[in-house]
This record gives sequence, structure tokens and C-alpha cells, in this order.
Amino acid sequence: MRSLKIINSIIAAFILPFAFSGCEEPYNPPVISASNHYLVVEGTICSGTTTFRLTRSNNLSKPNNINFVSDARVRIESTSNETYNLSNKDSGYYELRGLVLNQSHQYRIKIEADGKEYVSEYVEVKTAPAIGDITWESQPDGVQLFVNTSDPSGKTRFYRWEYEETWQFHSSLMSTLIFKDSIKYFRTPEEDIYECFASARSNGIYLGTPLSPQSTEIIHQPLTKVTLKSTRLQMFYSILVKQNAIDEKEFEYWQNLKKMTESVGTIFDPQPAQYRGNIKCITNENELVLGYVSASNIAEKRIFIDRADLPSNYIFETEYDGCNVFEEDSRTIIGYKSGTYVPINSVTNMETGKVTYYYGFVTCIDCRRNGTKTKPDYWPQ
Amino acid sequence: MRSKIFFIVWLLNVFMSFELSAQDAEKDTISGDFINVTFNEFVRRIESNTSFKFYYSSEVGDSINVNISVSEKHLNDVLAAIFNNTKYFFAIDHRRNVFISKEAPVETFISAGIIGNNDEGRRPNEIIESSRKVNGLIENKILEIGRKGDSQSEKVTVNGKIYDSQTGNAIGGVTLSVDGRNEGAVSDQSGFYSITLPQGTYTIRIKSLGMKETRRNVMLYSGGSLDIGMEQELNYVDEIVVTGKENTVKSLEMGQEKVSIKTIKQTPTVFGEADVLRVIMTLPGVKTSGEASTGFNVRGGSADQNLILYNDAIIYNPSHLFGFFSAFNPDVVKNVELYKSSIPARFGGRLSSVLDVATRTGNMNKYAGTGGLGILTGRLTIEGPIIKNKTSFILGGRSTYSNWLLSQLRNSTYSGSKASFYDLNLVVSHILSSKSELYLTGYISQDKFNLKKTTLFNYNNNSIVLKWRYNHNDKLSTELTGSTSGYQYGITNTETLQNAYKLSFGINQMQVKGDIKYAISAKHNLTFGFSSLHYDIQPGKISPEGQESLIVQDKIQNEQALESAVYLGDQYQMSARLGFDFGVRFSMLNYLGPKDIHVYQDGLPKSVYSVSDTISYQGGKNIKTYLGPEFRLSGRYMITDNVSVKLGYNTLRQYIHMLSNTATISPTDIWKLSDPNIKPTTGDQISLGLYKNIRKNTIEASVELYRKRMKNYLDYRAGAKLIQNHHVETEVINTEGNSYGAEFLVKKNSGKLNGWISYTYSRIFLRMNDPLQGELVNNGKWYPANFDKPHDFTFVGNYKFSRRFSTSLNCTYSTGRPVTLPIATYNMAGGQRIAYGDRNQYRIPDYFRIDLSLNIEGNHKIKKLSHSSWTIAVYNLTGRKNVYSVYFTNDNGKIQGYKLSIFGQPIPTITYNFRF
Repeated sequence: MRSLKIINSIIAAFILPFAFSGCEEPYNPPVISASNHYLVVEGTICSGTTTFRLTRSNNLSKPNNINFVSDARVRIESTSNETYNLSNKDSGYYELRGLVLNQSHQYRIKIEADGKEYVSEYVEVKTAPAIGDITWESQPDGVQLFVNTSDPSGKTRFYRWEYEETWQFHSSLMSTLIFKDSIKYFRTPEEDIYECFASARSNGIYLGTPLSPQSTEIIHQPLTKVTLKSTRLQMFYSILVKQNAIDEKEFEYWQNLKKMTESVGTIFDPQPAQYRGNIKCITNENELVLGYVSASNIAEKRIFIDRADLPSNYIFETEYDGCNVFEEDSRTIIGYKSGTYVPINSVTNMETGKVTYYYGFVTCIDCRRNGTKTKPDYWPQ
Repeated sequence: MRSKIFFIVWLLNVFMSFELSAQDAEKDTISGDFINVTFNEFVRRIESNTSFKFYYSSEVGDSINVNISVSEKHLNDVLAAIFNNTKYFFAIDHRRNVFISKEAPVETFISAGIIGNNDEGRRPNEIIESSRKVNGLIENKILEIGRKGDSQSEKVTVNGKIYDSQTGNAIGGVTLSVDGRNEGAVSDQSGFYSITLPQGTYTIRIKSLGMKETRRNVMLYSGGSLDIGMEQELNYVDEIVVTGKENTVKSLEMGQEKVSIKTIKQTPTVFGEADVLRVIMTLPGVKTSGEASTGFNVRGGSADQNLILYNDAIIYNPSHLFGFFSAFNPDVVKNVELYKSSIPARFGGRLSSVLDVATRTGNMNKYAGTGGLGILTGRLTIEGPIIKNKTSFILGGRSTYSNWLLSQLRNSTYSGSKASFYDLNLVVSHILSSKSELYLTGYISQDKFNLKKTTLFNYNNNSIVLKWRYNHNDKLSTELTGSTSGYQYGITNTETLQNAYKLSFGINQMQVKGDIKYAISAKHNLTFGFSSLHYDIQPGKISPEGQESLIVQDKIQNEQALESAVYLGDQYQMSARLGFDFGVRFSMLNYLGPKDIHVYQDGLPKSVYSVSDTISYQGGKNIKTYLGPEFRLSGRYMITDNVSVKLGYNTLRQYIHMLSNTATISPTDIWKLSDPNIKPTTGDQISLGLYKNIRKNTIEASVELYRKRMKNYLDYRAGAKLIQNHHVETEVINTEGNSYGAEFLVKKNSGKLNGWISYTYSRIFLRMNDPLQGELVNNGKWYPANFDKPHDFTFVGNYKFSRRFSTSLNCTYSTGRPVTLPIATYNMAGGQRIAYGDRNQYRIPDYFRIDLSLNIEGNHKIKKLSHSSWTIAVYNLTGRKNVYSVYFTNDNGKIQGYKLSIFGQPIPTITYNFRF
């Protein structure tokens, strides 16, 4: 009797309708939904050619826009009151050639943009030791690059590497014909659009420091990995590695930026926080400015990788995947004129004498869509 | 010199059980020094040395302070001295029972019958029902009270106590009515009643809800007392005795909050189960770190700055299910004390507060049980004697029996999630002799949480405490406590086979401490003692899980340390109005080997790149010692009997720090000891309070102001990685902290409507402006800590409609806590980057919630075997979507913010409680 009562009680506890739900709602406080166009400064003051890139940050919901700042005044100032103006190279890029940095001075950058003035801290000129070696290793999914370097003087403890890649590639379909004034001609070698050169800047933050305080060497420091998901290794590849000597503060800045980008939502994630650079807005002290400017005599080294030296079973996934050849019909004439299609070649049937023309999409044929015909000076072939 | 002798004598006493002042049990006179003891303590001593038996309300026990030295004095005279100028009156009967009662009506009788007359021949007249079992015959007897002609006045007063004849507990709220007359009385909380009638013969009917009605036929000649036993009807009566309420105005301590389990049980909570910590969080100056969190912040201190003691064992994670429940079983807890400004010298090691949770001891007479069933958990507690009147036990267990909570998560990403927990408590108490007692407490709590089938979190707390209490004589009592406690957690993640890992953390500690109370004179009351605590921390171990895992096993070297302290405190009653509480504590941390210590280059921020050397220390070697004094001073001045002002100054040191990815105590926190690279956190606090009791102490009002400073408070560098880090010192920064605030409290303790309203204004700012530590936080300016919540308002109210129905309302508002937000996205170094705003510059939306609950006691049928009650509650009545956390997802570069609310709608719950 008694146990029955308890059971009834338990049942009673459960028959009441319950509702529970955790709920998620979009969170867009004013600070997030504001435009938040903060100045982003990228570049290093260096002997030789100094290039700065100025952009503005975006609202969180518009990640892929890059807003270039093209009407700024950028100049380098030294502690000995020298001023060097950078010229507006193309939208957002500012360049100065032939600067020779004086080790006994300190330098800074000053920017005037949109009626505001920005200035970096004065920084000492760091001179990077020569790069010892750039090595590579072919792996199943690409080529891993490594850098080896050392500073026997022990002065340089922190390094940052950037690079410029250049590579020769070809499009998917080789066109031997060219359509001019409604007529098809055979292409001359100058009119070839099958083989081109492409280039790219570094797409990551590469930092290094000797493993122990006693050591001055950096051995086998991984740099970028060239994957098979581009045309980079298709023919001939070259990389110019630029070695910057930096100080601890800058090292931490980049280290932090790198960590923040790597967050993947696990318990091992770092504490999100803003690491300040060394640039500030003097017009409005509270305005956030993004970037870190240093002055460095950069050391460079270039290497080449030939497709012939890579495993023959490499299969590339490129933007040319899925390209097809079509047989010509009447509508293609309009396509040739508009540039959508490019004739490839013609085949004559020896028995009937009938000529069949083949054509394809311009994006599959014209390598200039992804590069340039101009061969760099340093290209060995 | 004198004190030295005392000390030696004391040692002799303690270790040889030497009897210094035995008293003849049957004598009417007593001797002893009762210096600055509570009335409770006084009674305990008298009862243990004589055959006198005291009956009084808990209010008397705590609020009356005894401060006398007597030698062979009659108890009458002693009591007269104690109660002189108070509102209390006493009476002693020939069975050597002593009754203390309150307020006027008894006065004539007592002054005529007892105090004014020591004549042996004229004993007071009383009838005590000595039989514990109410004899049915007594109802039919005519009881004669007093003697003919004794009373000078026409009217006579009968007083006495109404008690439960089974348990002996006092029963309040009992109505006494007299047949054929208008006079009547109601017993107070301690069961005392008094009724004044003309001389004559009457039938008094005694009625109480839940008790069997009874009657007494009396013939009144003169004043006297009549104690009445009642039998229980089968009706739920809250059997947990409300602990004596501290009289805040008179006590020397400030910033102390004592909450009885009764109050805790009345406050509605989510899932309907009484929750110790959640009630603590409604007190002024105490703030919760998050909705589903039992981490709390006291006066601008972080969650790890609270010392949480469970019968003297340190608890590291006081929560179940990530904070939905607190890890203390409400059926076992007796009361909870929180010290937030003047922390007694006997406590130390944490900077902000001490939360002292004490359990009950088992019933020495009979077996009893309590339990409850809620929508998620079930709990059962049984207690009883092992050896009657000598040894008792109480065993409580609580466990989840349904996976209801997680099955309600409609989000498919959480399907397959499971959660369970349990906790077990055992307290065995044993009376060794009239002077010494032994207590053994065992505690274990365990949690398991399965998220999406691939992630398993588990954690547990455990402790064993052995305590020996010895009350040597009137002046001296001593307590020796030995304890071990531990906290472990583990995470197993098998989301991807290649990265499957198992991560674990553990902390084990052993502690020995001795606490001695010594009443040195009428004005000085000393406490002194020592404690020594050994830590062994396993900061982290990761190992691969499964054959295919590529995770490399990695274990961070264990940490060991010894934290020791000696303390001395003195409660000094300078005059009736002015009193002081002085305390000093010397604490020391010895960081011990074996351990490899990184040495960092001077003048450079600590980072893995500035390590200049690593030194290996042998096991047991003292690597680093930190020591320092801590001062605890407070003073009280009574402006009037009902108004006092108090001033306190405290310094504290903390040698263990919690490193956490969030502001709450979550299972992935790491506890880190101070070591050569991480300094102890130190702090001081000055506080000022004004206290006033209104309406005969039924309403307490107080205002407290405080200002607190901290040094070497740990915050994190931008991008800090805390888990599985071999050089975690490179991820933290020392900040200075500055907090201040004002706390207002109005509290009504009794009556049909009771509860409190509190408002707190408080701020906590941190600053890191030392470039040698690396990147300045927010340019070296003061910034709010992530638990800074300036405004906090709480209302807790209970209204009792009848004995069967009562209702509670709980209302709370607080400012949203600060967060660091991503504010923009930009392209740099060939990749998409996110710009964050200044640290803790923004706030999540404000928090507001109302909860309502209804308690229904079971029916009053006779001969029911168990007594039951129902609690029906609605949590978050208004359904406000309070934000628990905000987080951001990166979907192909597009950053979208989300606010997560856990209890975003009203949640009705029902709990069935029973007692047998």
C-alpha cells in the first residue's frame, strides 16, 4: 500500500508537462554591427625597396572585402629628421625605392589618411643575417619548404619570414588558332597563351627562434607547404624567402596573431584578446590601428623546384579541372567575338576534306587569366 | 610567564584528561569562569557538570553573552546575574530543569516565585510531564498548579514549554485555548507559552497543525509551569532545527552571513531542489559567475578566492553538472556560514571569502530518513544511532536517475549526450566522554558528462575528515582535525580518431590542524592554532586514446608544496559597548621538489624564448619559500542597544591559483601553486558597516562599505594557452586589483512574511602596466575584471499562508558581465584576421529573473508511515532569455556572434520530499 503511494508520486512527478530548451540567438551589439573600419598597416621599412599596404578592416559579417586605402600620404621619418615620401604605386600600395637605412638612426612611419594622422613608434634598424639554406622535401600531398639560418653574433634571436612565390604553369587546352577580324589564323609564338607565370605573396605568419638560449642556429624551420591544389608545381616553381630580424615584442605580436587565427573551438584554444601593434592614431588616441612596423635590412634567398625532380605520380587539382573541348557550330562565332570562347585547332578529314574546328572556354585556354606572359629576369630557362 | 604556565597546564589537561574542576552533579552551586561565551556554551558546560537541564530558545542561546567568574554560587544567583537587564526570565523546578523565557507576562510569577525568594521551603510550583510518551490518562487528571494562598493577586500565570513527546523538540505556533473563556496563548518558536487566568479550574485545549490535539484539566492556585507533550499527527514538520540567528548588531564579526538550511529550502531553485550555493549567491556582495554556474565572486574576488569548506575539507569544485546543482546535499547540511570581510584568523589561504558548510550529525535516539524526488535527481538520507546516545551516523546520497535534462536539448548536435552525477555523505559522530567527541566525515561527489557521444567529461571531489573535539574545562577547548581531500577531472575526446585524446588533472591534499579556544579573562577570549597543508598537484597529462590516435603522450611534472600557518586571535570586550577582534596569522608556502624550474632572463617578459636556464630539484627539496603575516582586525561600537558600527581591516595571502579559460568554475580549470615564477596573491580590505535592528530584532538592516586591493592577481596574456602547458607562467601576468563597493541589506527573520532585500554596488578593476611583463593590457589602464557587475539587486521572500501552504518568491537583477568581443575582420600577412576590442570593454545584456515556488505539506492523516511535502516551482517566471554566454563562429570567414541562454523560458518543476 505504502509503496504504491510512492510510485504514484513518482509518476505524478513526471506527468506534468515540462519545457526546456537552451536557445541561441544572433548577437549583434552596436559595437559589432558598426562598420569598424580601422586602418591596417602592413609593411617593413627596409633598405632597397620598401612597400606598404594600407587597408581598412571590415565589419565581421563582410570578411572577404579588402578595402584599400588609396589616397593616403605615407612617409618614413628618422630620428635625424629625414623624411622620405612613399609614392602611391597602385591602389593601396605605397612604395619607396633606393632607401639606405642608417643603423645609428631610428625610423618610423607616418600616415595621413581620411583626415587623420597615424604614426608608428620609432624602431631600431635590425639587420638580418644571411639565410643559410632553403630546403624542401616532397611529401604525398605536396612539397614542404624549410629554412635554416644562424647568426653567429647571437644578436638575432627572433626571425620572421615572408616569401614571394613565382611559378610557371600552363592552361588546360593549348590553342594554335587565333580569331582576328572574323577569321582564324595560326598563332605565332608571341601569341601563345598556353604557358604563363604567376606569383603570390606569403599567406601565413612564419616565425622562428633558436631552440635554446645557448643556440644561435635555426635548423629545419618549416615554412610554407606547397600543395598539389594549384598549378604551382606543374612546371617550374621558385620561391624568394625574405628573412626579417625582429625583436621580442614584434615576435610576440605575430605569434599572437597566428594563435588567434588557429583557434578551432576546442578547450585548448587561447584566450581571445587584442594584441596591440606599435602604431597609433594621434588624432584620436582611442582609435584602434592594426599592424606592426619595423625597420630591417632584409636577407633574401631564392630557390627553384623543377617538376622533373618531383614524384611523377603527383596529380594536381587546379582551376582548370573540368575543362572540355567542343566542336564548332554557328553560334560560336559570336562567342569568339565576345571572347567567351577561343578556337583551339582544326582537323581536316582526309577522305571527305571536311574541316572540323574545336574550341573551348577562354578560362580553360588563356593562361593570362591567371598570370602573365612576362618571364621574370631571374627565370633560368 | 603566567601564560606559559597556563599553557603547560592546558597541555597536561588535554593529554592526560586531568580533571581540574569537577563539580558535584547534585549540588545547586556552580563554579567556573565563563568568559565571553555564548549562552549555549554556558549551558553545555553546566549540563555536562551538573544534573541541571536547560530549556530555552535558540535565540537566547546565541544572543546572550555570558561573562562571569563564579565559585560555589547558587545557579539562581548566577542566572540572575546573567539575565539581569535583559528581557529574559528564568525558572528552576525541583527536577532541576531550568527554563528561560522571554518578555513580560511571566515576570510576576518568576519574581515572586523564584528570583526574589531563595527560601527552600517555598519551591516554585510546576508540573513537568516527565514521561516522553504522552499518557492518555493525563488528559483526564486534574493537575494542581501552585498552592492555595500563594498568589497575592487574583490572576495567575502559567507558563511552560510545548514539546514533541517523541523527539523532545520544541513546537512553536501551538494554540492554547481555555474552554469557556476568551484567554488563549500561542507558543513561540521555542515552544514557550504563557497564559494568565484568574484562579480556578479550567480545561486548556492544545492544538497545533500536524499534532494531535490534547487537553489539560488544571486547577490554578498560584503561578507555575506546565510543560505539555504532544503527539505527532502524520504531518510534515520541518525537523531541521533552525540554527540560532547571529545577532548581527552585537557580534564582533562583520560581513558574516549565516544561513540556515530552512531558509535554503524555502528559496526556489531550478529543478526544485534546495541549493546551498544558489542561496548564498542571493546575499549582498556575492555574485554568481553565470547562470548555470555555482562559481561565485565575493566583493570583487575571483571564484578561486573563496575557500569552500565542507566539514573542514577544502572543496575545489562545488558543483554538479557544470554548475546546475551545487555539490552539497541539502538533507545533510546543517548550516552555511559565509565570511566576506572580517575573516577569522583561523581561516586562511584564500583572498575573498570563506564558505563554511557544516553538516548535521545523526539522530542519537532513533532511526529516521528523509528524501526527495525531483525531475532529475533523487535523494535519500538515513540517520540513526549506532550505539544509542553515544554513536550515531547520517548517510546521505543523491543521484541523477534520468537523462531528462539533455534529452530536452532539441539541438541535434547534442544528441547522444548524457549526464549523470551522484554524491555520498557519511558523518559518524561518537561521544567519547562528557567532554570529548569524535567526528568522521566522508564525502564523494562524481560527475560524468557525455557530449555528442564523443566527448566524455568526468570529475570528482572526495574528502575524509576526522575531528576530535575536547572541551577541557570552562576556559579551554580544543579541536584537532585531520583531513584529506582531492579533486580530479578527465576529458576523453574521440571526435576524430587521429586526434583522440585523454586529458586529466588532479589535486590531492592532506591537512592537519589544531584549533584552541581559551578564555583568558572576562575580557579576553583567545583562539589560536596551527594548520599544515600538503598539496600534490598533477597539472595535466594527455595521452592518446585508441590505436589510431597520433597524439603523443605528455605529462606535466607534478607540483608539491606545504602551506603552513599559525594564528592567534583575541576577542577583546573593552566595555559593554566597545569590542575588538584582533587576529594575526603567519602563513608560509614551501614549494617542494622534485621539479624542474625554468629560470627567465631578467628584464624580459617571461616567455619560452626568454628561458635562460632550467634547474632540476630533487624530491623533497625546498625550492622556494614565501611567508608573511596576515592581520585581521575589527572593532565594534554599540551606539545604542540596537545600533552598532563596525570597522574592519584584513590582509590575506593566497598561494594557489585557479587558471581558467572562462570566468566560471568549469571542469577544465587548472589549479596552480605559487612557485619561483608565480608570486602569491596578496590583498587587503578595509570595511565599514552600520547595523540596526528594528522591531525587537525582527528586522535587521545593514550597510557595509568596503575597499579592497590586490597584488599579483593573475590574469592572462592575450592568446594564453593554459591547458597542458609546461611553462604556464609565461601565459599569465600579474595585475593589481582595486575593488570597492557598498552593500545594503534589510532582512526580516520571522513572521508570516520573511526574507530579505539586498542591493550591492561594487566594482573591480585590474591593471597591468608593467612593460617588463610584456604587452600591456588595455594600454596599461584600469580595466574591469570579467566578473565586474556593478549593480546587483536581490529579493527573497517567503510567505506562509498556513502550516500547509507557503510560497516563496525570488527576484534578482544584475548588470551583465564584461566580455572581450571581436569587432572587426581584416586581411594581414596573407590571411584573414580578427580584431578584438579592449579587454572586458563590453558587457553582455543585464540579467533579470523571477522564481516562484509553492510548498505544500502533506495531509494530516494519522498513522501514515511517511510524511511528505511537495514543492512546485517555476524558475524564470518571466521567461527572460538571460544570456549565459556569447560566442562566435567562423563560417567561411564570416564571423557571427550568438548569445546562448540556457533557461530561456519559464521552467516548471515539481519535487516530492518525504520523511519517515
